[in-house]
Amino acid sequence: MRRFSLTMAIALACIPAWSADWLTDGGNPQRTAWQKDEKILSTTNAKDIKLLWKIKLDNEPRQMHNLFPPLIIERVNTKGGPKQIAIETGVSDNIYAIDVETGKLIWKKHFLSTWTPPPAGGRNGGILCPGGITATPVVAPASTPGKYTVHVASWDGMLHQLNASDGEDLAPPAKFMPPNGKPYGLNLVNNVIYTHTAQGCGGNPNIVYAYDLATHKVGTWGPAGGGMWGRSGPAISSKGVMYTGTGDGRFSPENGIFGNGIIGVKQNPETKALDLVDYYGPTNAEWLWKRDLDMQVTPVIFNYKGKELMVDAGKECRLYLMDTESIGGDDHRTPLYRSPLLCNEDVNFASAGIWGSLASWEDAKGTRWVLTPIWGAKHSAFKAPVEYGEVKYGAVVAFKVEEKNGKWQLTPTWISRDMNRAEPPVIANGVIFAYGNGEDTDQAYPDVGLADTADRRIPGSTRAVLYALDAQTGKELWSSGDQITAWNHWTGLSVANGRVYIATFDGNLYCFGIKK
Amino acid sequence: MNTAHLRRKIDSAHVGQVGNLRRIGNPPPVDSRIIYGPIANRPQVTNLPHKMLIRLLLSCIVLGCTAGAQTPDSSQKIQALEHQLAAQRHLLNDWGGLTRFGSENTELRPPAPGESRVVFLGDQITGQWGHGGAKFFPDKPYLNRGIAGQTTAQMLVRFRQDVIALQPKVAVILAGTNDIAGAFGLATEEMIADNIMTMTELAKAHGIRVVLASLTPVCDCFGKPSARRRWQEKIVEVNELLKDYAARSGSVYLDYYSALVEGEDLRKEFTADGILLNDAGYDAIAPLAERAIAEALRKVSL
Repeated sequence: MRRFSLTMAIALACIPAWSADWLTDGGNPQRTAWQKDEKILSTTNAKDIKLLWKIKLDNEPRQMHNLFPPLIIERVNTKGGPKQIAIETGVSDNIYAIDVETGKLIWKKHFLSTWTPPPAGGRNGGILCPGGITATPVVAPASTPGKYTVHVASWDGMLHQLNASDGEDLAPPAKFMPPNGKPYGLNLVNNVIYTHTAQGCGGNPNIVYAYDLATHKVGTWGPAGGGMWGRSGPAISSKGVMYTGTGDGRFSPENGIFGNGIIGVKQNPETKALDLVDYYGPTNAEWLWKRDLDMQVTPVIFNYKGKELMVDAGKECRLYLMDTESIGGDDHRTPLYRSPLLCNEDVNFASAGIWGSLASWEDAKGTRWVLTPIWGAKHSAFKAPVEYGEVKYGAVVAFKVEEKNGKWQLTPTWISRDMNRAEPPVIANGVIFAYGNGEDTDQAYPDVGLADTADRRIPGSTRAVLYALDAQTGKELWSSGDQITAWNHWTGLSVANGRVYIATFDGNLYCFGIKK
Repeated sequence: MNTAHLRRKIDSAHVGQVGNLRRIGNPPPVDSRIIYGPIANRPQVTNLPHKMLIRLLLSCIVLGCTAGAQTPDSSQKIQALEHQLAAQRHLLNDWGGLTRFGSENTELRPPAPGESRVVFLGDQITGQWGHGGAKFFPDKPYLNRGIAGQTTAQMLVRFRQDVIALQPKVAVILAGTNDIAGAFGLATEEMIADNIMTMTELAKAHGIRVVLASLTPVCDCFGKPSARRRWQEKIVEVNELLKDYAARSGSVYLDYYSALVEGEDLRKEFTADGILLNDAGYDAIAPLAERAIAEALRKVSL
């Protein structure tokens, strides 16, 4: 018995002490992008970050899409023993599993479609409807330690459940949504997978889908105006309400139309249908609609001072702070706080504003922070106590959540250095990882007018640059410089156990971290 | 490349041109009075977007040449040129100035029953009313929709958004000074009157009564060049056209000019720069505007 205990103790000691996962886009169902379990990366050693490896995957890009943010599982039982693996998704119906210690491929799964895609892809093809997988999958631990299920929505609208250890099907593919739609980052709460769609791709309506894993029933709800295209998919509150911003469309709740607003829907436990339970429309929603300033950002939800709060944003470049008890107040048009414009002074619907998703974390002193990326130049009237030079192309902006005299506000604290199209950040152990994607986001040109085509934008795109910033001050601690040789579009960062992952359009997945 | 001929310093001829550049978010250029393109030598007003595109391209060339031969102190110049380029680009993209009040307008509720909403449309002379010590009609449902630097053609572009959509009972239009200044090329008195007549007809089609304000006088009373002598003749001629058209169209003519002029000049006590009004100037014209609005409202009820 004594020998057995000793053996167990040695075995336990050999298990790496990192134990951080990144199982869903944004890190958790609330989409805080806060890696709470990071123990290796720190403000002290961030300057020593190096490229650990990169792997070129054979996924075929579609339009400007290629790879999505990898999901990180700290300990998966594989044939080769326990491994920490990255689940990487390629737009062309591919899933890859990579050993993050070696950067080597463990397995690849290509979905054999039950549906014949049209030559042009989605809604006339084009950047907005690339076809293929468009939603980051979600990983769920099984009841047995070391076993995980990867849930994936493939191009043909089927929901797949794969064994993370070998990529084999754990269940037959099930109908989730019509083929050729455009779903966004899957979110899994209480055995229900949520997503929403946009752009009317494949001629499909823009609606929310909820797949009940126990009953295999699918619930839907649609805002009847504007797609929902928060990049990381919906955020889900403690009460199981799924929130998302809605895209370009009229806001006319009296007519059942909820464009350019924020909606909250919840699964009916009896019928598994989705019901609208709350909504919010900015007071200038008509302006947002006229100017194509979608509320297209994945919200972030967090607890603070006994309240469950939510922040969302849109292309207009404002932040909205809301109480999930009633996101728009009695009139559905009054949030707790509405920020001034942070950027997009030119009212540009293509290359400015807030895109993607947000982030939030709480420091050791109990201060709650909210972070947003911005595209384009900072608004001339918007200031923060700490700034790092002129912002021409984008930046990360940090706010403190504060309650003063009973009124809530987001207090600007710092604005990062300039980044070329700043993308959603991730917070890990006091370090903020953010990047400029290097993408050419123009959609109109003086010589030809509106021409939002990949063959124009791809040659104009440059390279992504990853940055590590001090989360308290925004000071740059490290940058990848020219180590990343390509740009990316519509993807994101993942951070776990001393490693930061970023994928690029040319099919490379980069892993940066501290060399042992 | 000698770029000197591309630049020409002007005095504050454009009513609010400098203010406009600041408003759209760019820090003041090194010399914020510099604009591209000769003003006085333009033979005629031509295709405006085309001209702006040329300005934009020239700006790019200047930027490129400057960037290619950087000297230790060139970064500030490049930055200033970049700001000017951004301002030109903004002007090209939003020539009518629709983004200035667009969002704000949609947050306004429709007028309450019995409310006599009034919209003041104009340039910086209207726009800065209420920004100093002189109040802009406190406690009245009057909306200020003045945008610095604008010409009548630009106001015509935004007339639906900034006037018609707000459902006022009365619109007070004070426009044309920047046209006379040649802000976007030379404009004749008749061109100015044409644009104002079109705005009036649009207003009438939507049941909005129009108050046509006379152009305000100018002076060279602060030691500036005498370029405004020529303006003065044009201002008088435009005012005659407006007065005549007001009578023909059933609009109200609002004579600011007579209240502000001494001889041919704007009285010095009403201005800080010879064009824009100071608090005393606004105090002098406010009662006139109120009387004109009251007259227009009486016409509504007839």
